[in-house]
Amino acid sequence: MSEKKDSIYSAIATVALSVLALPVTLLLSIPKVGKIIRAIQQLDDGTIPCRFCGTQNPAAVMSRCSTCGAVEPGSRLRCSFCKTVYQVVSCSGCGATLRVF
Amino acid sequence: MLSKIVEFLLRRSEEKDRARALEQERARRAQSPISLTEAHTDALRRLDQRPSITMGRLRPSLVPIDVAEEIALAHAIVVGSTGSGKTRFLIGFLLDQMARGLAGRSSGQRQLGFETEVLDPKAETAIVLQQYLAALWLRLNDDARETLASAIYTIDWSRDAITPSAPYDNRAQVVSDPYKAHLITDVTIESSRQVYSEPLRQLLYMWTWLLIDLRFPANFAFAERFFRDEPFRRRMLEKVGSSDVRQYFGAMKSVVAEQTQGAFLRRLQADLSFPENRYAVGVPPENLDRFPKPEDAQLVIGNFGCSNVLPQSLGLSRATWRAIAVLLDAPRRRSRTKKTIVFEELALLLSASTELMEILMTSLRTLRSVGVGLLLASQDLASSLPKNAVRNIVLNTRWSATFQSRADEAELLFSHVLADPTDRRSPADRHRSFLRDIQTMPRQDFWLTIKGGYPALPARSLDLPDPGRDLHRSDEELAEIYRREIGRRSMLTTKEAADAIAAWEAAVVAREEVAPTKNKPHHHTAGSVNDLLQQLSVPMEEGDTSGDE
Repeated sequence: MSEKKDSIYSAIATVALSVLALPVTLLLSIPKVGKIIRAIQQLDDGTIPCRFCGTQNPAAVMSRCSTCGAVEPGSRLRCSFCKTVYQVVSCSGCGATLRVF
Repeated sequence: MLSKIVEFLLRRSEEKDRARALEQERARRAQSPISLTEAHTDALRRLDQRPSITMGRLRPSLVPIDVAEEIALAHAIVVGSTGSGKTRFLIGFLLDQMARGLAGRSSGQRQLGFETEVLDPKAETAIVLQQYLAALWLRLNDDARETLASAIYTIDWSRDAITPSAPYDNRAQVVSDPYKAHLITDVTIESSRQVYSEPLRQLLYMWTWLLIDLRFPANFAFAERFFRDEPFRRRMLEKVGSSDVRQYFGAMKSVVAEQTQGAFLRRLQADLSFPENRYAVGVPPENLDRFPKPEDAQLVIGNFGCSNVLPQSLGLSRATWRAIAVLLDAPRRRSRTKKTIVFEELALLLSASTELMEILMTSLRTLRSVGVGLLLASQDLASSLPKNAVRNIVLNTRWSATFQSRADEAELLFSHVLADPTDRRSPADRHRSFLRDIQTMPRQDFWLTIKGGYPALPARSLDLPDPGRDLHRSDEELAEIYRREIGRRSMLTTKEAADAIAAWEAAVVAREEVAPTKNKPHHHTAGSVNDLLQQLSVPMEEGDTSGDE
C-alpha cells in the first residue's frame, strides 16, 4: 500500500516540478525556436542572405556534395545521396562562411 | 533536435528545391554576357587606386586610364614599331611622374618623390625628353627651376661637352675587380665589329683589371709607355694590389707576343682617337670625386646615341656598361622611393652583351623586392630575343603596352582580349582579324594588358603637344636651353676634360724620368749574317762590322 502511495507522490512531484520548470524551459527554447523559424523561412524563400556583403545566395543550385562528391540540382544544405546535412554555406559574393542554422 | 527538424523540412521540400535549382541554372545560362564596355569600365574601376598614374585613354570613350602606382611602376614592356607612338608614350609616362613630383613638393624641397633612369642607345627618346624638360623648365618659377635642374643628371657627349664616365672606377666595390674587368671586356668585345683573338682578349681583360686596380682612366699615352718602357712598367706594377695582374704583366714578354701588343695598342688608339670618347672615359676618376653623381639624381637621362659623331659600337658599349652598372647597383639601394629604369631599344642593347642579358633576366626576378621596376621598350620583342628570354620577360612583367606591332607580339596579347558578345564571327576569324588590325593600328593607339584578372584594354596614349608650341620656341632652342641650364651641371666642356687629362698625363705618364727606350731595330729579321750574329750577341772580329757592305 505504501509503495503505491510513494509512486503517486512521485508522479505528483514530477508533474509539479515540470509545471514549475515549464516557464524556464520555454524561456530557454525561444532562441532555438527562433533559429528554426528563420531556417524554415530561408528554406521557404530559397535564398540565404550574406550578413557581410548582402549577397542573396540561392539555397537551391546545382551543387557538389563535399562529403560524397555527388553533383545534383537541389538544396545546398542536404545531399540526397549520402544524406549529409550542412549547417553552413559559402557566400558566392565575398566567400564568407554563412551559418544557416 | 534542430538538425532533425531541418532534415525533415529539407526532405519534405526536396522536389521543390530541385525545381528551384534547375530554374536557377536555366536563368544563369540565359543571362546575356557582360558587354565589352561594362567589362572595361569594371577594369578601370578596379585599377584606379590612389596614388595612380594616367597611362592613356580608353578607346573609344577616351576615359582616362588611371593605374595604381604600385602596378604602373612594376616591371613592364612597351612594344611598337617605328612611328607607332611608343616614344611619346614613354615621355608622357616620365613627364607625368615629373609633374606630380613638382606639384607634390613643398617650397624649397629638392626631393621629387621618384627615381628614374632612361638608357637610350639610339638618342631619339633622350633628345625629345630633353626638349620637353626644357619647356617644363621655362614654365616654372625660379625655385622650381632649380629643383628640376638639380634633380636631373645627363649622360651625353657632343663636340663641346661630355659627361665623364670613369668606367674603371670600382671604389664602390659592387662587384669584385676581376668581375668588373670581365664585364667591361665582354661588352667591349661584343659591341665591337673587330675580331678579338684569344691572346688579345686576355690582354684586354688584364689591362682592364690593371686600370681598375690602379683607378686609372683609359689613356693611350699611358698604355704606350707601359708596354714599351719596361722600367716604367715595373714601377707601375709595384703599385698594383693584385698579384695576378703583377704576375701577368711582369711576365709580359713571354706571355704576350709583340704582335698582340701592337694590335692591342692600335685598337686602343682607334677607340680613343674619337675626342668625345677620349674625353668621356679619359678624365681621371679622382677629378670626379666632387662632381655630381648619377646616384644622387632623381632623373638620369642617358643619351648613348652616336649619330654622325661616333661609331655605334662605342655608344652601345657605353650604354651597356651603364646598364650593367645600374642593374648591379640596384639591389644595394636603401631608398624607399620607387625607381624605374627605362631600357629604350632593349633588343639593340641586349645584342651588345650576353652578360647584360643574364644580369637583366636575374634583375627581372629579384629587383621587385627593392622597389625597382624595369620598363623594357623595344620595336620587336618576340623575334629579336631568344625564346627563353622572351618567356622570362613576359612572366616577370606586370603590364605591357603593345603599339602597332608584328603578328608575334599580337599573339602574346590575343588571349587577353575580350570577345565582343555581339560579334558572330568564329574564334579563328576573330584571331586572324586581330592580328591584321594590330599591324595597321593608328599611331598613338595601343593595347594595355595588366596581369591580375584584367582584360586587355584598347587605349590611346595621352596627347603630347610639341614641347615649344605655346612657348614659340623651336626644338633647337629648347635643346640649347636644356644643355645650358640643366645638362651642363653634369657635363664637362671638352676643354676642361682635355686639361684634366693633360694634367694626369703630366703627373703619371711623363713625371717619372727614365731614360727613353732606344728605338731598337726589328729583331726578328736579320739583314745579314753580321746582323744575325749581333742579335745573337756573338762577338765578332774587328773589321767584320762593315764586311757585309
